[in-house]
Amino acid sequence: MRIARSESVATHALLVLAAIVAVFPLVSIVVSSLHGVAGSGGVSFAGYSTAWTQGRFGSALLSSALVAVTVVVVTVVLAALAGYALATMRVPGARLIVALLLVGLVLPYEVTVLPLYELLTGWHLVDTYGALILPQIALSIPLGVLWMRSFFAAVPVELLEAARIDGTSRLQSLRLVVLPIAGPALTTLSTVLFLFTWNEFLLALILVPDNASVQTVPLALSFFSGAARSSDPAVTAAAAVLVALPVLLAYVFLQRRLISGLTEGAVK
Amino acid sequence: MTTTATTAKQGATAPTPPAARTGRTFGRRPSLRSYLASLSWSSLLYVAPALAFFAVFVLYPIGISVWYSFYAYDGLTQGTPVGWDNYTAVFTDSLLRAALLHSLVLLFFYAVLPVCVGLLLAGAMSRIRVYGLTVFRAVLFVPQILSSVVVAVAWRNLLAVDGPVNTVLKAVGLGRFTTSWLGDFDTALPSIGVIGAWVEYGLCMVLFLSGIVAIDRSTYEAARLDGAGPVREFFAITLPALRPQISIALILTVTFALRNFDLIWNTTRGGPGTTTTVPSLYVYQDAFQNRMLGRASALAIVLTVVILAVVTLVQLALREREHPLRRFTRPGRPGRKVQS
Amino acid sequence: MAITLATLLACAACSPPGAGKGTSAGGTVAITDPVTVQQVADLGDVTLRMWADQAEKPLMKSVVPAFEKKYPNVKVDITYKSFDDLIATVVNAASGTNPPDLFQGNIGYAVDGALVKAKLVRPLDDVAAAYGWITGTGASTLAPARWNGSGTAFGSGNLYGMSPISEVQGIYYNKAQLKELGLKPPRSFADLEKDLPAVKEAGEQPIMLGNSDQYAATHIFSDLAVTEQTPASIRDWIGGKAGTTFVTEGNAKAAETMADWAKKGYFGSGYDGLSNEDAISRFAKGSGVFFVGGSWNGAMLDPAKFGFGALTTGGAGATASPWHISASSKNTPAAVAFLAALHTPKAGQVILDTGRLPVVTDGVKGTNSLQTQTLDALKGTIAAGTQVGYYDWTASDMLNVMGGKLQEVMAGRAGDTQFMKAVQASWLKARQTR
Repeated sequence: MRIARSESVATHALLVLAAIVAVFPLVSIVVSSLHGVAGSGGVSFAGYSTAWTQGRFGSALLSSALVAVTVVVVTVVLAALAGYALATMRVPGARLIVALLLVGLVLPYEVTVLPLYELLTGWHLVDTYGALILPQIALSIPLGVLWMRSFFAAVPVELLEAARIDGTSRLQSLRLVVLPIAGPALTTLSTVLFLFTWNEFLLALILVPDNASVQTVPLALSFFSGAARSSDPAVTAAAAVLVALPVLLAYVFLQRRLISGLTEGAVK
Repeated sequence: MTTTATTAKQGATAPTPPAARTGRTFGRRPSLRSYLASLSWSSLLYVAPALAFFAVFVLYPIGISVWYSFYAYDGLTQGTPVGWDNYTAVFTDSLLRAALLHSLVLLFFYAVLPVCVGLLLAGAMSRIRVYGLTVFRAVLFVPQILSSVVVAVAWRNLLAVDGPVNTVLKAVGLGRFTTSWLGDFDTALPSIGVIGAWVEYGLCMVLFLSGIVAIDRSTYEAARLDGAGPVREFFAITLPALRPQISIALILTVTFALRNFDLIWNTTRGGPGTTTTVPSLYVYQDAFQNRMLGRASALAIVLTVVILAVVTLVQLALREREHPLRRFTRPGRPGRKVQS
Repeated sequence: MAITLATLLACAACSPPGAGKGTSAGGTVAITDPVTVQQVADLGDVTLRMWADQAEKPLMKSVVPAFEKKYPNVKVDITYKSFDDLIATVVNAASGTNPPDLFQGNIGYAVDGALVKAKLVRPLDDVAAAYGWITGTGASTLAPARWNGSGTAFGSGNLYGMSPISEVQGIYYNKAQLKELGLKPPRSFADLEKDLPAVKEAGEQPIMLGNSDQYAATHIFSDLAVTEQTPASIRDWIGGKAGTTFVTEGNAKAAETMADWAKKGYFGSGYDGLSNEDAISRFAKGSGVFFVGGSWNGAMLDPAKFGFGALTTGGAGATASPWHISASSKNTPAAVAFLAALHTPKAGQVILDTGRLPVVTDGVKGTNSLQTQTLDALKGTIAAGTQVGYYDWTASDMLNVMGGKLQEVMAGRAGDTQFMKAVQASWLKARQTR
């Protein structure tokens, strides 16, 4: 039975509409960021230079990159180790560990930030990179471990058996047998964690309230657009575009891997 | 996002349950002993670093929150124990109750609406060959990757008194409906809701699409030969097949809806009046502005329990029982994976 | 399970949280005479760390270089924060392990009360006596920084802070627009009330208001309220005096006026979606004929185009966020010297020149009409005794409660009785928990 051509056209029209709605807000800030400061009508990059110099986005971008990369690298290493063990070994208390991690997946940060603030104050870490990096590694652990665990669980048993017969140790077989085929899973996980860390706002708001030199871009943008300078919409819009640009660029290159990895991994 | 219970095969060393093996027992002890012996204690070395982080920066702070929640504490001077008062306050204080109510309203916008829209679109797409699927997917996913602060700035701009939305309304002769969307008592909460729905609908649709691509086309052929129309096709095949994706979509959107600090903080901060307050906003204000750490902790814990409860409910409600596709597919032939 | 375990671990013997905290006040050096250059030099090379409202930047740009020149061994390092951000974080910073030496708080229980209660700030009575602050022109402005030792009542007692800057409420007006409409500059709320319908009729927006932060409208309300009752009764209520109430005829009338003005469109539309900063910048660009607000808004306005109407019949005003010296500062002499440098006629002139109002007004002269008008307004309110302060000083969540409820009143969603009762309930609750 054939589906009518008109239905296909209508569905595609619907899809186009949905896609336009999805990008319209972004397009609109790009447009308003390019408006001349005095509404002269022409295209102007003045908003960008103002935002860049007044909002300290240069240093904020560096902070964000440093924090995100550190969090991703450390989390992926720790998650690969733990996920490997949980998937292939008889870990004592494995069920409890997995249950805790599952709870950790949906935990609202609100319940941890207040004591975290006090804990990190005591350690002299508030307003340092440490205050952003350490808790975010911990908060990324549940997703990371469960993700890697389900990946390793899907690795054919024969592969590991063969390695064991060859006399390779467990750590070696992780390094030599399993990791080489884990590329796609690691890429997807890294991308997701990078996005989460890059965009995190509440933790940054509370844990680095003072030190402008370690503020991440979402925080810098929030302070910038909330303070007196918001009266010029072109500048605020430009600031928002500056913040979104790095992730958008990364997304253009990684979107295929990210989406297919996510949608497959999500339901596993 | 591997949320659903991954009763994964235990990999290489998949054990026989200890109880099944121990035929000759001296009471229970040997079975326990052999069970313990079958465990790999050295494997804890692999798990320990990750767990240490998790324990110090997640579990321990939760413990502290529970502790604080039974005290009146300003963060500076010694607290006084107040029993369950902070918890009763969460449910009796009219402002906090209103905040919980707002969360429920937002739950509709953030979770129910995007899932329905996503299902509708996905259902339509299941019936045709979609051209440019990857591009659509990529574009629809864009709201998900943006920082909520960027989203807030963009939408504040769209919904401003002199913003594009009002300009369009005026242009099409609906000028009397223009308002300061985020600053008006009647429209602020629904406006926040629309922003949330916008963030989430693409995610839902992308998730559902991936589910649909995995459905064997022959299932649909078979159904059509049976004379099923689009509606029956949707309810008989598409919807049941998407059960896991719906479950995931709901868990993600519900969690987002109930937390929801960033968007509100960067758009309305709870105003006008108290029309857009949510629990997480009060957690922040009580903890860092009003210096009521005990009440803030109690509220955060209630919020956590609510989220866990809702997520568990969703999981239970959408747990996969017998696979519904069996009726249409011949056994032994898995759904064809369509490369997108 | 593990969470219970973590809780047990956390509370150990289940002692109350915060036990043993906040008693860090070390031995403070008593100041008997003005600090000398030598006393500061004895500290060796030090960095004086400060937290300040970003509005202080223009003043600091002038004071800091002169200070560093006079005390070459001191380097001043200032962290600027927006006002909202400052009051949200300064108490935590002050209670941290390495607090700034000097910082601004905010009058009232939420910030200054907490600082005093936890003994995080040094009493300044000796400093005030040594420098003669308690006898000079600004003496009366110190009252809101005086506290009882436990941080539960303010207005009298020991001095814990000093603000070199004062604020006064009034009516900014657009000179050209007034002229066009044939109106005279308003001198009181009665004048303003007469002008509003005329402006509205002419198709202009009478009052520019940005109330998304919820405080701007409460300031207009307090200007109205102080014309309806004695300033002393408002001051008593703000100070938390037993037996006082917010449910008064005067407040009801003021609330009704706010609702009435909002209904008649005198504030335009969409003011709840506009921030105060956005509103003042729109006003500066020519939208709206009047702007009712505090003198700090004047920095955004062109003196040639705008004037300031003093409220001789009343009008709220107060000192700005006071400066405090950390109780655990190791650089107390330098911090005292810096405070003293802020409390001079010279600094007073700089304060006025940068668009704000000094506490020390001896010999300070305005360089343009807007400044002179604002300075006169300040002197007027001090003479009339209408500097009642701000309502949100009275309870830590008062700004949220009052600001939010007032928005409802203005939107016609709550009556004045409902508004007053909610405010009074919050006031009572705050009093009981102190």
